[in-house]
Amino acid sequence: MTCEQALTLIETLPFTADRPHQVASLRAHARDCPRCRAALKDAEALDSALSQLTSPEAPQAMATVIMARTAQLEERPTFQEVEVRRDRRAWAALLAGGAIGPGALVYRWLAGESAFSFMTSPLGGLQGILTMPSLTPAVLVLAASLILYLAGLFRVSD
Amino acid sequence: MTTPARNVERRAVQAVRDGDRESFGTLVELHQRQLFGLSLMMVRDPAAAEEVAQDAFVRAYTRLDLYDENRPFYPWLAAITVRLAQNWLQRHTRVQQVEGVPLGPEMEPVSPANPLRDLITDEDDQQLWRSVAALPSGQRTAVYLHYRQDMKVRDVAQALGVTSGTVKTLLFRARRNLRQSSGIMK
Repeated sequence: MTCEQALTLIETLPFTADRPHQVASLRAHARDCPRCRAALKDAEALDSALSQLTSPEAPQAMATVIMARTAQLEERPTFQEVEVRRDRRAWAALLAGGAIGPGALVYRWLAGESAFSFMTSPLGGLQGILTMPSLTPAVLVLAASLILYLAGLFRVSD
Repeated sequence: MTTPARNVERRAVQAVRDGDRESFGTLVELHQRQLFGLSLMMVRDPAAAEEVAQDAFVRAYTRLDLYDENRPFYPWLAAITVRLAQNWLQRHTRVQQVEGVPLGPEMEPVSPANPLRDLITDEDDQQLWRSVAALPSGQRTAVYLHYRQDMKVRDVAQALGVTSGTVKTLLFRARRNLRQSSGIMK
């Protein structure tokens, strides 16, 4: 082994653990070469110092804070739970929305053509919208359908 | 890590996976010092290091299902910490940083005053820590993981998200820089 090879190997000493034959050659060379022996000694001293690098204590409250944060995570719904709730809410809104259609038909059947009479008023739809309908059974059915729909949107998410 | 400690670690991981949150405390106790040291070496600010270490544990807890039980726990945890610390450094330096590309020390945050004195009491240990902490981030992280935390080059590479060759280069440069810096050799 030449001095150049030895010095290169010394530079990569921490990664040569899996090449014991090379390390053995290096040590044999260093025994006879003062320059490489000194370089090897320095490198080993550096490695020894680095392996003694201290690890400071973690802050005392750190573990407590970490456990408190994981506890907060437990209180939150899991991703799967959120997905199930979203599906449930969507289905509820669909069902409630579907109830509005039959509700409107029942409303029309109960109220007859007069149910939409505001469409033919001289002021168009505006007058009909602004006029509060009387509490007939048909109006109550339509109102119930709308309430059901809103319930599907806002209340099932609990 | 010794076999009994490894067994304790495995049992704790399994218990947490089975829904016993308190068992995560065992994993925290086992690794908090190592993880805090790694964070501190990377971000060089005790308050930020604590924040990063906390975030790493919480992230590990939420992603425990992704951990491969056949491998040691700490390298997986260290990889999470390295990512978070890199993000912290990027946020605080406004510099795109790639491991393996050394940043000048002047481009990285330096902790105020001398908080190291509060954490490391021995003067020689402080001096050694300072010398390593003065290295560019990739080098000091590789040194800390390899020497202090006794991780193989392959595991360090996995934690840093680079190849083994890059880690060897980082360690090679770090050792050269440390030899050139004064005070590292007693």
